[in-house]
Amino acid sequence: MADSGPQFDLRELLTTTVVGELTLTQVPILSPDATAAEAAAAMRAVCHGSALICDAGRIVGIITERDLLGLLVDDSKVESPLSAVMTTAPQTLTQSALLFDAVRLMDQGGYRRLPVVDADDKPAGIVDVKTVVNFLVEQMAATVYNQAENSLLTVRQREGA
Amino acid sequence: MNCPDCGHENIPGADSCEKCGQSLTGMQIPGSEIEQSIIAHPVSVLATKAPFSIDQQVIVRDAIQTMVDRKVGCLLITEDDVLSGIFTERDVLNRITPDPAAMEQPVGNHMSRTPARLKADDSIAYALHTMSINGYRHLPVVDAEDKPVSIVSSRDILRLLAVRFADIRSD
Repeated sequence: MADSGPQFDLRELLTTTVVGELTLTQVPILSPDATAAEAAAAMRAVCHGSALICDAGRIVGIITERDLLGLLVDDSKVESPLSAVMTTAPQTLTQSALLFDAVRLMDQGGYRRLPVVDADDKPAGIVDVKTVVNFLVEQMAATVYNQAENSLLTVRQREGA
Repeated sequence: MNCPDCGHENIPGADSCEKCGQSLTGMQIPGSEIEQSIIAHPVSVLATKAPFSIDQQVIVRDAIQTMVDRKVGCLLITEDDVLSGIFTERDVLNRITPDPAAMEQPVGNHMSRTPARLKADDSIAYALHTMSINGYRHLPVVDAEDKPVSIVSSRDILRLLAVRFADIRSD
């Protein structure tokens, strides 16, 4: 293999970046009394697949597009109040948490999204797999954005006379 | 090294290809170990999940039930076993939740048609490129006849990078 170029140390990047440095996704915030159907409409409006459920400004639950699947096939459940169908007390991160911890939680817990709270424990947004992947891609932009599919890189026929 | 033009295997360190004369200098692959790795490795090294494929005539309700039962967020949709679309939980959110009648219609009416797809020998870097440019979370991997062989998710790639290059599972 050729000599390495500038070193990009993923572990160092993840352990020196805090969650608050990423562009957090702003998601709908609903009350526990709202219905799952209302949550779905709010999620569609912002093209995002989750919503936070808050009571008195604190996160009490989360509902995701995955949860909606189960509600749809179980007729009538889409009209249930969120308090009955949400995931209660979801794992959260503070804005000062390391990106390393966010990625580790995603790996261990199988989470795709983690709600982030500010110093006052108020919701600050969501960090999701896509946000993290896009952040990493930005760090490797020259490599990732200069890719072609393999079939375009392979000459199928001999060239020449 | 193999000549990039004719594929001839040259002795290591050769300045030009012994067979076709192509210069072999100035070909250093740029970037760090992680960047070289995602260029060098095909998606087949991480595409461990067999895809869940269903025919496009299956009704939406049964498709969603399959997603619930299998705990997957994405189904590959086929016509005569050839990939014709993809049906994800995002399609359910955008197209099914506002329209209850859609539950009883064929999934082919509500899928995303002709999705971006990979071949098993495409690089991980190319998969990242396609996901990042288009905002896709899942990419089907197909064989030469466009039949689904696996599915790659952004989470698979994040996990691979985090475990392999950031040692995320230690300490």
